[in-house]
Amino acid sequence: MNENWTKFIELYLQGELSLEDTAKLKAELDRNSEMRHSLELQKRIHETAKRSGQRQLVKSVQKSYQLQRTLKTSIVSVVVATVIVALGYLAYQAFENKTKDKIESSEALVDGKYKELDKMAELDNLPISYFEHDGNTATFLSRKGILISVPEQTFLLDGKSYDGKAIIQFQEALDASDIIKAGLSTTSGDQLLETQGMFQLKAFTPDGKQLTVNDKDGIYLQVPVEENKEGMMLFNGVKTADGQIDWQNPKPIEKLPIRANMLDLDLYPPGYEAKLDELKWSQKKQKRDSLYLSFEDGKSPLNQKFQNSVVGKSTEEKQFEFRSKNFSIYSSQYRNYLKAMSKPVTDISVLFYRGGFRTNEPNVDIKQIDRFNYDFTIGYVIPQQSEAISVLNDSLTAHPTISIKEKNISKRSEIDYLGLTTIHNDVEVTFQYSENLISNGVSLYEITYRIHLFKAIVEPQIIEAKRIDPKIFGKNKNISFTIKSLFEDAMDISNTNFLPPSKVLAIWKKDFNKTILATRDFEKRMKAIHETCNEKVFDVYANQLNKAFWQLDEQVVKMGYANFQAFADERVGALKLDNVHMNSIRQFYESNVSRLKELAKKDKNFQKAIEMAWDSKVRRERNEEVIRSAARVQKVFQDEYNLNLDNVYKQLGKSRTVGVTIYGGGPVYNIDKYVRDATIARKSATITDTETGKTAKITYNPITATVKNAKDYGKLYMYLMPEELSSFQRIDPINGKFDYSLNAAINYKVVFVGINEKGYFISDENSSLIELKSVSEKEFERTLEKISKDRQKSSTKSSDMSRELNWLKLEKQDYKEQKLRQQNAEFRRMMKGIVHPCASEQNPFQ
Amino acid sequence: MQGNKPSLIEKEKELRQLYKKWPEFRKYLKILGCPTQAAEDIFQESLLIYIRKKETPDFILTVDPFYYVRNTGKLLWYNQARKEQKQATFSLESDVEELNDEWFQKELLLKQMESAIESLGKKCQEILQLFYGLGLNMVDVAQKVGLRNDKVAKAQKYRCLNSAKEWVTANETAVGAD
Repeated sequence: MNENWTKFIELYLQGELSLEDTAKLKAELDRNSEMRHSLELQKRIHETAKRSGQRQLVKSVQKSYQLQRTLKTSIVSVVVATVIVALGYLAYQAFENKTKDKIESSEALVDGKYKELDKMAELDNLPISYFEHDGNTATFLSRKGILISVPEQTFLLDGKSYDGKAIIQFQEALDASDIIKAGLSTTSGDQLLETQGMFQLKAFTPDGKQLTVNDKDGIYLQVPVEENKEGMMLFNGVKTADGQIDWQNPKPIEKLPIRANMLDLDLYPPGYEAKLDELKWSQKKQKRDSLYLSFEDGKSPLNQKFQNSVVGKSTEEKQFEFRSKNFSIYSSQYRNYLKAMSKPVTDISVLFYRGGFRTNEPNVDIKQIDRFNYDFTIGYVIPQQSEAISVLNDSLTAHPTISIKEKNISKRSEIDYLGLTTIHNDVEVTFQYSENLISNGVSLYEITYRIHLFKAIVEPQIIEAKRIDPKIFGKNKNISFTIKSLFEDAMDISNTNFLPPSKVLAIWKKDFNKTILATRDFEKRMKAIHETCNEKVFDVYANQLNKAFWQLDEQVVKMGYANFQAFADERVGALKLDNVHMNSIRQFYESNVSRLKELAKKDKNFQKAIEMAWDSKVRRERNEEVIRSAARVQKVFQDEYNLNLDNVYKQLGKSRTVGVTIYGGGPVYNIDKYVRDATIARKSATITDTETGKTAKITYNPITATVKNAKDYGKLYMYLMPEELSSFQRIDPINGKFDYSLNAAINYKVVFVGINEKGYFISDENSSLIELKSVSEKEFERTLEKISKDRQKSSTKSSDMSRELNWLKLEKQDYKEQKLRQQNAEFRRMMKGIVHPCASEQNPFQ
Repeated sequence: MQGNKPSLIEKEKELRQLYKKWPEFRKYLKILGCPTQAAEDIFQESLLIYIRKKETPDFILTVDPFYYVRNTGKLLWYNQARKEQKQATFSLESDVEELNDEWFQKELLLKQMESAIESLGKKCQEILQLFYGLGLNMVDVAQKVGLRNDKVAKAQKYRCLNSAKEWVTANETAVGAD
């Protein structure tokens, strides 16, 4: 038989030949009888093949009929054991909210496309659903909510792998009416069962051949039930001789964990992301992770309030010794303190502002030492000396230091170092200090005061002072201090109830993608794990990756968390890892945790170091400013005094000499003294020369000015730019009000200045109510420099102002810095409550 | 009922309904002297003829489908019995006429020709049955029989057709009309 003819004829009969070729073929057919015969034969073959195909259809119906007949009279498995091998059964109450797996609609076949397969269904009087499976892994949802997960290569046709299209026939009876309608029983032998649902599943090729399920993966079903009941099992339905179903071969069932990409899960503490979203914080996961990690130290800062003090006692006392050293005496800005707190200057008082404790003294035992990052100065008012002594070798390392330099003093004192809170760079330190100076066994004074440190600002307040007769000590005497570490127990204020972020972040990596941690089930449990605030609960899951969820849940229940029983009841199973994978995951986890802890610490220390460097700079500048100011005040005073004196002498018509006696109706005074007193007091005075009857006047005119919204400004000054004096004068307000007296003999330019974190404010109004205007930094500088220059009588004026400006700028920057720190501290306090919900805000010492 | 081309699903459905009548059909043929084993084959053939008849243009079924099938079965039994020279009960002259019906004869011939298809390998049978019998396109046919693509399936189909033609040519006396 000519094969070419067969092909051409076939193309011709199928209408696939071109017009040209068709014409050729027809011409050949006309000419060639053999070809015509071949054509006729081929047509008959077509018809025969068609008939043969149709016969197969009849045969399949026949087979089905015969099978039905056989099944009616013999044992039948309703749930076909060879079709379904692996099944899951589970309470599934929140399926729609939890899973993100693709679910295909069960409404795909409303047009009755596969109704010819209806006869194959086993359960009478129950609707039949059909799903089309295209060979790829797919998930379907039945009408009653049963989830059917069909992996690829699930089906076998005649024992061989079948990856073509499959038609899945499904029947379900989940409620009593369906069960009764289908005539299904609920007995197993003579035992009555409680059922939560029955179903039947078969699969066919599109041409009706029945498929079986390969038992490697099986088909997974998830049945929704109203409540989880313990001890539910899967039974096979077997038809008895009388046509009833007996449920046999019970098997325990587990639910498969719902796998997900690790990076798609949310493992943050509940509310963490929502809060950051509310605050419009960066959306980048890296930044959110970084913030989360910054709470690695779950220890709760105590004492958020400036007013609170921490008082505690421990039982341990340590002693260490200082050798007295030379110390210097210099003016201190604490003169006011001296005045305020001391009565007679014979007192010895001790002041603090900032400070630290040296910890390399072996006898000093202060815990949590690395949390100290402040320094302080101990100042002494030496009896019979009017100056405060302020010395400290401050240390700005992680180990705070105390050292005392002393000169011409030696003392023994007992320092009761009470109460310390702190931790982190951004919270307050409060402690109560008491000092008892003892000399040769005699207690000199005892003083207790409470120190509140908030960054660089200290407002020591003496709360109690008992004056004891002071003595001056000699040089180089040994001083013994007793430091009681009074809160050793309380210092362990660390709150152990927290879950370290490093552990959570260590597993939140795609490397854990094939483990039980990369499942929606774990994601769900993480919310509850956070609420336990117990890292041991987290460890149960993270350290046992090969166990079934329900086993781990039960372990957690035994740890005392009864709410995990609900998870255990879900009977979620395991995702098995091979040993090699297990070991590598384990190593990865552990190294990751260490790395993250180190990173958190580094970040924190780095932040601390930056802040400490800034504070140190500000402190130094302030110290210099104090000295500079004092010198300037002294100088300007001297200038004014000289001016007044010259003025008075001029008015009296005398020349400036020493020792002129003026009789003014009172005690005999040197004229200088009159002028000095008047200058100091800034009050007008009239001096009469009784010999000549001439009078001289010194006139001071009081001025007052109030700045609007004075509280808005961190620093507020009235600058007087006197033409006649060598420098400017800076006046401080009291409650936003300036009260001063201007020397009538001097030409002043008055400028009001305010500074806060937002910037600079200035006014040169001549008014009693001043409204400051915001200006740029450049304009601020320009204004003050110009005024100063205009008023320049000496070259020192502009350099004084220049230095003043630098200092003001620094103060402004510091306001901003402190504001940011404050905001950050508030932010962190807020987030802390979310990240570590069990951290206590209560002061354990109160 | 108008002669038309029902879908595969409809055919299957109807066949299922008709198959339920098998006991009745068997009983009927038994009366005509047909043993049960033979009756099964005849029943299958009758159903096949019925669904094929329904596809012919201008066919109008005026009786109940099962009656047509039963009648067809009767004719087939008569034909078989005649061939085997068995005693059969001829009820009416009309039966003889029906036996000699052109279409019926053609069907009998085609039945014989089915041997040509059965002589082919399983793959050839499948290709030809799927394409001509169920009306699948070559892409689907290729997928079903496990061939790489439709082109390969077509080439195979040509070979199968050629083999079938050769068989028929070689066995022409066997498939000739009797």
